[in-house]
Parts: sequence; C-alpha cells; structure tokens
Amino acid sequence: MHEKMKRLKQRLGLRKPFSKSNTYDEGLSRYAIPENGPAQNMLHAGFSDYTLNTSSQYEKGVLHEYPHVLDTTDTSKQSSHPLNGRPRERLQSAPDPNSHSPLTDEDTNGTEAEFVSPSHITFRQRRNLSEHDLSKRLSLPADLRLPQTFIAKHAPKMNEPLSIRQRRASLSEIGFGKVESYTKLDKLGEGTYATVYKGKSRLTDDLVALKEIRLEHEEGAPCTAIREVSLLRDLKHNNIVTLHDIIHTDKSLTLVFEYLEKDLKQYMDDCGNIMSMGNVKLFLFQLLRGLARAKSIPTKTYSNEVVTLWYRPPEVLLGLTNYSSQIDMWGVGCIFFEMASGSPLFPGSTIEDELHLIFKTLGTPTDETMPGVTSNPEFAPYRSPVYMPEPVVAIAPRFDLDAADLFSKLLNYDKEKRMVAQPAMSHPYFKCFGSKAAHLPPEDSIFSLPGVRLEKDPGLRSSGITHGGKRRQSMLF
Amino acid sequence: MSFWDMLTSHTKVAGGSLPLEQITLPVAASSATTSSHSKCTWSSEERQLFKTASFITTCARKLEVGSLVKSNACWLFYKFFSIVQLEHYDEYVVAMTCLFLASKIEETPVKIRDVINVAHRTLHPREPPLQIDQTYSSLVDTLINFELLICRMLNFKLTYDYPHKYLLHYLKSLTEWMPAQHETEPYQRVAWSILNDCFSTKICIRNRPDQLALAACYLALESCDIKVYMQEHAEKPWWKVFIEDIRLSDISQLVAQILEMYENETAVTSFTVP
Repeated sequence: MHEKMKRLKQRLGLRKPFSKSNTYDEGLSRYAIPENGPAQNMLHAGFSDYTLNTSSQYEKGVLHEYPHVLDTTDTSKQSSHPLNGRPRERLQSAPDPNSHSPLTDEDTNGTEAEFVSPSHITFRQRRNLSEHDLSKRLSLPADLRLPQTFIAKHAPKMNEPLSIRQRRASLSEIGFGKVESYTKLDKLGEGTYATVYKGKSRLTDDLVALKEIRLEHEEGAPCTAIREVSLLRDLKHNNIVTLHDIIHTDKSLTLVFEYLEKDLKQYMDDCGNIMSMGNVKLFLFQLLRGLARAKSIPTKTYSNEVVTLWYRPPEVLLGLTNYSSQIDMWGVGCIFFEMASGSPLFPGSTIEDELHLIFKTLGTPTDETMPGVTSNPEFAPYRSPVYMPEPVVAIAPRFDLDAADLFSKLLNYDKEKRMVAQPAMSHPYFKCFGSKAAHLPPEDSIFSLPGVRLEKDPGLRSSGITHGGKRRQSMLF
Repeated sequence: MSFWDMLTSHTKVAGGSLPLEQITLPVAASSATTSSHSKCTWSSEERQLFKTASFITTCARKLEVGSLVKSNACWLFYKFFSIVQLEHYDEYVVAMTCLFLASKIEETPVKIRDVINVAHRTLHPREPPLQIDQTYSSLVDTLINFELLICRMLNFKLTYDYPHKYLLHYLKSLTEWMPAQHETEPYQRVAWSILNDCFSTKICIRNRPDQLALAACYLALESCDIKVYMQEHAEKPWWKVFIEDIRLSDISQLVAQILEMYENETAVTSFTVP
C-alpha cells in the first residue's frame, strides 16, 4: 500500500511536500487541469485522459463487423407500477353532480364497448392469498389483477429467492412493456416528435395516456425523449404525471402515462375562466409542490422548445442562456395571475411585444431591479419610454395582501431574488393549509390534509362540451 | 505526524511502524503489494473493459463533451457489461453508443456523424476518413439500434447520483477551511482527476457516489501531503463531517481500489507499448 502510494505520488510529481512549483512532470500532465481552478471550470474540463496507444492493439477491425443485435428475449421493459387506485388530486374537480366532464360523456356514449375486457374482470373481489403475496413479492400495486395462469405458475415458487432477471421476466409475463397490454382509444394530439393517445390498460383497466414517440430520426431517439424517460422514471410525486410503463417496438417508443382528465387550460375553459380564489390557491400550491420536486426539468432546450412566449422570464427574452430553476417561477407567477383573473398576464405575440407588455405593467427595469440590464445590448430598444410599475392591486384586484406579496416575489426582475418553489410553499398565502402542507411526503395528496377540498367555481358551466378555440398548445407535446 | 497517522490516530501507532500497513486491504490488492511492480491483477476481461473505457475517454476529449458526459458514458458502459457478457457484444460499438447516448442524457447532443468519425479515427488513425457509404450507414443504424438496446437493458435507468457534485462540495468546503498557504497546492485538481479516472474501471458502478468522491479527496490530500487544518484538535475526523456513516475502513478500502487501478493501469500500458 505504501509503495503504491509512493508510485502514485511519483506519477503526480508530488514527492516534495508543500512544493510551490507549478510544473508537473510527465505523470501529472496527463491529468492536467485548466488553470482557472476547479470550482468554476471543472465540470466541463474533461481532462482526465489515458492517452491511448492507438497504433496496434485496437486495429482488430472492430468497426467492420456490426452485429445488429437487438435482443428481443430479455429486454422487455417495465419500470413503474400502474396506478394504485388512489384518488388523484391533479386538476380534477371534486365530485359535483353538476359537472359533466367530456370524459364521462364519452364513456357513456359507448366507447366502453370497444374495450377488450380482461376475462378475469371480477377477480378483484375474490383475490386469493397467493395473488396478494405474489403482488407483494414483485412489488406490484395491490389492485393489479394478475392472470390466473401466472399465479398458478409462480405461486409454488414463492419461497425461492427472486433475482432481478427473474423479476423482470415475471413482469413481462404479466404484460408490462407489451404493446398488447394497452388499447388505443382516441388521439389526443400530435406534436413534432410524438403523438398522444388516450388509452386503456388491460392490466388495470385504468385510463392511460400513450405518448408514441416516432423513432425514424437521423440522430436516433430524440434527446428530449431520452431525458423525459430517464428523469420521470424515478420521479414519483403526487403532483407530477406518473410514468407507468415504457413499450419499445421497432418503429416507436411508447411512454405510458397516467391519464389526466383535463389540463389547467381546459379546466379554466370549463369554468368560464372564473375560478374560485380558494381553488386558485390550491392549484398554485400543487404547481409549486411539483416544481419543488422536479427542479426545472427542461434546462438547455428551454428557449427553442417552449411553445409560448407568455410565461418566459424577461432575462430569457433578453437572451440569457444559463438557466436555473428561477425561470420556472416567473411562469408560475404568470399562471397565478391567469387563474385569478381569467386572462393571460402578458399575451405577447413576439419577443418585443412580450417585453413591452412586461415593462408596461411591472415598470422598466433598472440596474437596481435587474442587475446588469442596462449594459445588455438586447435591452437598448426598451430604454424609453420609461414605464412606472403599476400597483399589484390595480393589476389583479382579486388578490388579497398575501397573494399580492407572493405574486410580486414570483415576478421579481432579479432572478437571484425571485422566490423559488420550496420557500414559496411556506409563504403566508398558504398558511390556511397548515404547517404540514409544505412537507408532505411526495406521494401524498394535498387533499389528504384535513379541511382541504375544492370549492365550486363560480363560472362552472353545467356542460363541459363547449370548448373555446385552442389558445395554446398543451405542454404535453 | 503524517496525514495517515492522524486519520488512524485512534489506533495509536508507535513511531516506527507505518500506519498504512494497518489498513486492511482486499485480498487482490494485498497480494499485488508483494508481487512485482508491473504485474497486472486484472482479468483479460477487465483489461479489455479498461481499454474500451479509455477509448471512451479519448473520444470524449476529442469531441469536447466534458467530464460529466464522459463519466456518464463510462457508467453506462460498465452498467451494460455488468448485465451482459463481454463476448456477446462488440465493446467498441457499445462504447460509441454509450458516448452518443450520454451526450443526449446531459442535453448536449453530439451529432451521430461526429461520434462515428471520431471513433473511427481513434481506432484506425492511419486509415482515411470514412466515406458516406454502405459501411457508414450501417454504422449509423447499428448505433441507433444499440442506443435503444442499452436503454432497455438498463431499464431506462440512464442517470445516477454522480460523485462529481459531492467532490465539488467537499473540495469547496475544505478550501474554505484550509489556510491560504495551501491554495497553490494542486490537491483539488488531483482529486478531480482521480475521480474521473475511477470511471475507467468498475469502481464507478460498485461504490456509493458520495464515498467515492470522499476517497478521491482523501487520496488527493494524502498524495499532496496536506493535513486538514486543525484536525488534531477536532472532535471528529473531517471526513465524518461530510459523510456521517462512513468508517475509515470504507475509505481505505476505496483508496486501495483506486491505487490498485493505477498500478494496473501502469502495468497494462507498459505491457502494451511495443
């Protein structure tokens, strides 16, 4: 050990303790690091390098035989577990006899008949012990109905240890990762790289959203899809859409998400853009919870991929590219306003328009309110006229004092001072939820807290069929 | 009192003996100490994996993708070959795909063409560049197929808790604590290099990321003969401050793995140079 240590030191050229010299022998130069020190630059330095002796030993022609290996036997994919039947809180209205969502209308219109019902439909009531144990053994949700043949085959082997490979094989046998396990229903929308369908899982009978990503790309699987999968894979939070399963076929990669009846936009349309302020608070809190957990997922692709300008912070509109989680918080402020007032805060159609709208309402920024803004060349056209900020009460008359305070903290020009999700959840505006709300376990719903429930929205129409024209594309695509 | 003395001071080693010998080594490592310098303790498979990981490193440097993408690529590579057998797949195709995939995971996608050209150049430095022909397009297809194969084999678990951020935190805290005289010492860079080098072997998938980062930091301080300031008077050793549940034996076991890697690396490279 000591010898090895000595040799390492030799290689590093560091035999002399406290040597002030900056010259390293050949050993260290292989590990040479940029001079600016580790703290700023090391993450992108990429210096650790074993110089390859590239002459002889690699010329075995490895690049000439390319086995087109696509193992189809053992690679079937399953990852997360289907819904465990808990009531979901996300933007679903409380049971209300007056509300007829498009979903229920549709179901009663007979689409149900098209489902291929699993033969063991009544299984839930008479589930036996071995099924229960088997579910537990495979860490499956309790309400998943396992095929009888599967139970018969696996129940006798209960006491044997289970390897990862066996578990995966078992899950594949149940039907995870298989395209046959899901019935495609309506098409919900189409984006640049994916098509989203409403579907139904034959394993659980739950509705799911099937996001079918086409794979005919020159550069392989889209970067966004890979990030989406790898980030959502382990993210289980009550306010983040759950990824249940991934199906890979030759032509496509399908992500199976939990199905949400409507998004916020549809919800607001359905209640005629007049939400109760209690529900605004509830929705805003859930939005913050999700963001506090997800920590700004799309970072580098933000500016090109985001659909609308309306929720972009001014520093991004002015060309800033090193994004952080504060960029999301500006959008949260905009959405907060939109929920309360029923109309978008800054509905700009171009970048210039968007910035003008922002400055007109919140005042033209100065170096004090937005450090460095006056030296930004992009800002030059907006120097005059100099707008004064409007008082929050004039912008959003429905806000109470706490709401106005939170609103102005979210829409801070200085991104360093802009409130981020976790502290925002402890803002006095949310004190009615109690002290526990900000620290709920990730999988728990806000509605599990005593006294928290949705109110009836004043603008709610008796029928949810009439939808206004699509104002903006859903973020699902 | 040397740094190692200080860290093992609870055993109160007498002046003459070397406290390093007190540290228990894994069997393979301790047998290496007694054997000759250039003996390699790796199996031929481990050697092959190491060479291919070095190939990833070289390509990553040429593609200017940065340490995180490189480390992610090596991690994917070792993860993949911990599931499948080396002889079933062409390790260089897997390596290229891992690099390609890692660049996407870190949101700095590299063009598939660049990956192929750089890999080809690295493996066949004397051959002319690849033409856009049948060979090239079959390579593209292979990479695209392998990309999804790797995703599926790893169950789409494509990222993990990288040790780099831990090391950054440890180094930053230590630098602020240490007296200014150490500012010119290269221990930070050495630690960073050691950690990056760990991704050339299975060390990267076998150990807890925070512990690995700490071991790199520990080894770097020791190589530079730097003592943590005021450690003699501290209530607990500095590494306990960073990771509450780590034991000295954990660190020494990791340090032994890292030292063994460097020994083997020397042996492998000196062996293969014609």
